[in-house]
Amino acid sequence: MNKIVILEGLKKIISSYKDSGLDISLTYRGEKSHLIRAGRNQISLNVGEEGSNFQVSIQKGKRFIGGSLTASESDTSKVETYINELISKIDLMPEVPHLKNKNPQAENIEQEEADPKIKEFDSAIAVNYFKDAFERFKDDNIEVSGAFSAGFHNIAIISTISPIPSYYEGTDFNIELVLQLLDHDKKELRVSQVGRSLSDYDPEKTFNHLKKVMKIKSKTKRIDLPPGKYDVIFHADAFAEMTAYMSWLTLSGDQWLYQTGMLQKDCHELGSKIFGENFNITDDPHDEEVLFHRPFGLNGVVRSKSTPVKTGIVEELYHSDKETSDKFGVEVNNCSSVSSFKVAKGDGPSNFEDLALESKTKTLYIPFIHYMNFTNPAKGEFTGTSRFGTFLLEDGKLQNHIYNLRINDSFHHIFNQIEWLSSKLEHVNLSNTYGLRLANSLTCPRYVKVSGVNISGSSGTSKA
Amino acid sequence: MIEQQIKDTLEELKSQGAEYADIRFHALDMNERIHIRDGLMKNYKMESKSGYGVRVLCDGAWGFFSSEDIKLLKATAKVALDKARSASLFIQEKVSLSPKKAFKDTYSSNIGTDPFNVNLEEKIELLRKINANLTHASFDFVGAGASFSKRNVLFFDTEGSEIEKNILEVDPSFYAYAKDSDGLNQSRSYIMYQNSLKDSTVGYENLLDEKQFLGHPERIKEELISVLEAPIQKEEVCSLIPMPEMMALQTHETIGHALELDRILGYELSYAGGSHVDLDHFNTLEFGSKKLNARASGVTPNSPGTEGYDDDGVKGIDVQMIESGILRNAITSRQMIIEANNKAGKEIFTESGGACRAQSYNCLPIERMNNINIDPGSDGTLQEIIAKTENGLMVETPRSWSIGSNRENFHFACEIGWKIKDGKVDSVVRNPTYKGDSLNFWHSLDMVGDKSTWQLQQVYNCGKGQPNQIMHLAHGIPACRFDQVTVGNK
Repeated sequence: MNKIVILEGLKKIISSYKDSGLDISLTYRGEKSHLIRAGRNQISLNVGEEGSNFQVSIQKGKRFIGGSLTASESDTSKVETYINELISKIDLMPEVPHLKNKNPQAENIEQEEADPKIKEFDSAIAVNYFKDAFERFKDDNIEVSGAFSAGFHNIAIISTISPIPSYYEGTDFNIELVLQLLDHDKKELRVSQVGRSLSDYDPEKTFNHLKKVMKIKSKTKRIDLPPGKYDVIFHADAFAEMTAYMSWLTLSGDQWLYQTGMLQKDCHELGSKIFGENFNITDDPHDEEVLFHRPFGLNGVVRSKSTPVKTGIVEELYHSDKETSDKFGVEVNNCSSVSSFKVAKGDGPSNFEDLALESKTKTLYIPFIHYMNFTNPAKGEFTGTSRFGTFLLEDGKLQNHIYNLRINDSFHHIFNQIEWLSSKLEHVNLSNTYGLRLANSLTCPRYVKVSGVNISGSSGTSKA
Repeated sequence: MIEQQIKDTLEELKSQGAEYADIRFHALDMNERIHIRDGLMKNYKMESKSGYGVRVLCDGAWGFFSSEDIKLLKATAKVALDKARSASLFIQEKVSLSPKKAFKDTYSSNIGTDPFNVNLEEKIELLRKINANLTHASFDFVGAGASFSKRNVLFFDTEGSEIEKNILEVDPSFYAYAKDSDGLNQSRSYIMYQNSLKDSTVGYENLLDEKQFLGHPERIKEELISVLEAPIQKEEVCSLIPMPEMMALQTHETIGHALELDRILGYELSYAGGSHVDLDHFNTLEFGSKKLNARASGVTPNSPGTEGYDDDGVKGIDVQMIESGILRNAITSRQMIIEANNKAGKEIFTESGGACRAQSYNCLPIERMNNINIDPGSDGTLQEIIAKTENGLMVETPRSWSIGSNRENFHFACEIGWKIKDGKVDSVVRNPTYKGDSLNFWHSLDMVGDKSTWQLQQVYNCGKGQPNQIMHLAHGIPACRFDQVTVGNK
C-alpha cells in the first residue's frame, strides 16, 4: 500500500493506453482493516483484512464498460491484462446515444490524514476496551457486546484524460458498545464513538454515558404509551439516521431525475422551500467541523463546498453517476460515496439535564432508530423502531423509560417540524468499515426536538 | 501446489499452538452484472477477485485474517494466530467445536448452461427483449438486469477436511416505474425463482424458462397499470395471503433471523439485535399454529443457500426447526450449539445444522440462513385457498420492511395488493402494507397450500454481522393464509 508504488503503477498502466483512442479511468482502493467484536462478555471475533482493488471504467465513443479486479499495487501487468479483456468486450456493448465524452477529472491532488497508530493498529486496544467495560459494569449483572472497527484506507485516481494521479489516505475508528441489563428484563443501552485518529478515542466518555443511562433504566419504571402524536427529542444517532435516509431520497440527483425519491417535479421545485427554516445541510471537504475531508470523489470529481439545504431550501442535488447525468443533460458535480454532511447547529440544549429541564410538557427522548425503511418513498414516509433507551420527559424532569416505539412518519413532516437543534455537534458513523473500507460520518446537533411525531405502536404490546 | 502450501500452513499453525484452524481459498470468484434500462445499457460490470482467509482457534478464542496475496499465506496465518491470542485475553468460556466428520469431497452446483459461456450479445439481447415487453407509454422507465456469479473455493482444516466447491448463481430480475393517479411513484418488479424440482439445473436456461422468468414481463406490466388507478388500501383487519416474494420475506425476517442461534445467545445485540426466543423455549414454545412446519435446509437443490458444506466443513443437512407449530431447533454452527447447551445446562442441540457461512474469503463465518423453508400443507391450491376466503388481502413483492430489534414485530409495505371478497379476487389496491407481532402472526396461520404452491425464492441481499456480510440463500415456501391481520394505513 505504498503511495509511490501505487501512483507510479497507475501512471505506467494509463500511459500504455495514451494513444488507444479510449477514455479509461482507473481507481485504486486499498485497505487494512481490523474489527473486534464482543458478545456475552467476551471477544467473539477478532478479524482483519488487507487488500487492494482496481476499478476500471472504459468509454469508446458511445459505448462503455466497467469492472473491478483484486491485485496488488505492484502487479501492473495483471491490471493491464484485465483492462485488455474489458477492451475486447467493449464493441459488444450496445451504443448509448446520450453518452457524452468523459470530462477531465481531479489531477495532482494529494491529501494524507492517516494516523500511524491506526495504520498499524494493535487489536489489544479494542480487546482491552471491552474488557474494561466489563470490569466497570460487571457488578450490575450485565452482558457486554459491541464492535470496535479501526483501519486505514487509500484511494488513488487517474485517467487517460487526466494522467496525473490524485491520492487520498486516511484512517478511522468506530466503536459501538451495548450493555444488556440481565436483572432488568434484558433492557439494552448503547453508546458509540467515531474518530479519525486515536487521539479522538475517549473510552471514559463512553463509560460515563452508559453509567448515566443505566441509572435511568434501573431506577425508573418502564411504561407503555398508546399510539399517537408526541413531541420527540432525538439524539444525534437517531437524527443522523433520519437525515441520511432523507438525503438519499431527496438530494440524490438520480432520484430526482428518475423521480424515484420524495421530491416530485410538479410540486417540489428545486430552489424552493421543502423543509423548515432552521434546517441546513452543508458538505465541505475543508470544514474542520466534519470528520473526513476527501477532496475528490471515487468518480474523479473535484469536491468543493456545497450547500444542499439552506434554510429549508433544497439548493443542490448530488449528480454522481455519469450515465444518468448524460441522459438528463446535467453535469456530474459531486460524489455521494465520499460526502460528509453537516447539519447546522442551533441554540438548543446540549446536555441531557438541560433538555429534561426544558421539557415541561410530555416529550419523548429517542436515542437510536433501529431498522429504518421507507413505506412510501414518493411521500417520504418511513418506519423504524426506537432502541437502546426511550424515555418520557415531563414537568422538567425525566419521568419514566418506555418500551421501544415504532415511528411511522414522513421526512416532509420531521424536517419541517424541528423545534430546536442543539448548540453542540456530534459525529455519527455511517459506514460499513470493512471490505473496501470507506469511512463515512454525518455531523449533526447532539439533540434535535421535533414536534408531533407519529408513534404507531410499541414492543410492549408485542410480548406474546 | 497451493493445496500443499495450505496443508503446510495448517500444520505449522498446529505446531504453534492452534487448537483448530482452517483456510478458505477463493481461487476464482467472478461476478458479471448487466443492467439494461429503457432498452439501453445502464451498467455492465465484470468483477474478478481472488484471496483467502485463515481462521485460527487458539487459547479458546478466534482469530482471523485475510489477504489476496497467496505468497503471504504464512504471514497471514501468523496474524490470525496473534489475533486469536489477543482475543483470548477477554473470554469467559473457551470456544469449543462440536464433533464433525471430516470429508474429502468436491461439491458442484448442478450446472445446466454456464452463463459465462453464453455470448455476451445474447445475454444483452435477452434483457433488451424483456425491456421491450415491459414498456408502456404511461411508464416513466423500465429495466432488466442479471447477475451471474461463479466461484471455486478450497476449504482445508486441521481436522482433515479437504473440500472443493464450484458454485454458480444466477440472479435475474426486472422492474417498471410509473406515476399513479396522485402523481406519486409506483413500481412493480420481479425476481426469478429457482426451479428446485428433480432434474432441474442452475444456469442460463432458467432465464429462458417462461414459467420462471421470461413469461412474466407482460403480467408485471399489466399489474403496474392496474396499480396506478387503484384505490389506496385502507386500514382494516382481514385475512392475508402473502404471495411468494412476500411470503419469502415474512419467513426470512420473522423465522429465519429470529432463529439464528448466535442471535438468540446475544452475539448480534450491538447491530442486528436479539431474538424474542430464549433457550428455554426449545421444545416448549408454540411458535405458530399447528399448520406451521419450518426447516433450515442445506440440501435444497439448486439454491444459492446450498453449497454442499458450510464454512465449518459440515455437510449440509435438513433441520426441522418448527414442528406442527412447536419450536424444535435453530440455525446452528459447531461453536454455538456447544455454547447454547452449556448455557442451558442440558443438551438442546445434538449436532451442528451446517449453517456457518461467510460471504467471502475476507470474512469470518457466522450462523447464516441456508434455505429456510416451510413445508407444504394440505389446504390445496392457491385458487382453493382464495375460494375459501371471505374477506382478505393478497399481497406481493416487498417494497420496504422494518422489524423490531428482537424480531418481535414487523411492518411491511408491498408493491401490489388484491382485495379478496367472498372467495374471489375482487380488485387491485395501492400502497398495501401490513403489520403484526411475530408470534401472534404465525399463530394466525390457518391455511397452508399443497406442493403445487411451493416455490423456491432466491434471496441475494441478506445482511448480518459485523463486519457486515451479505449472504445468498433461498426460501422454499407454499401459499399461506393468515387470519385477522391488520393491513393498510389509517
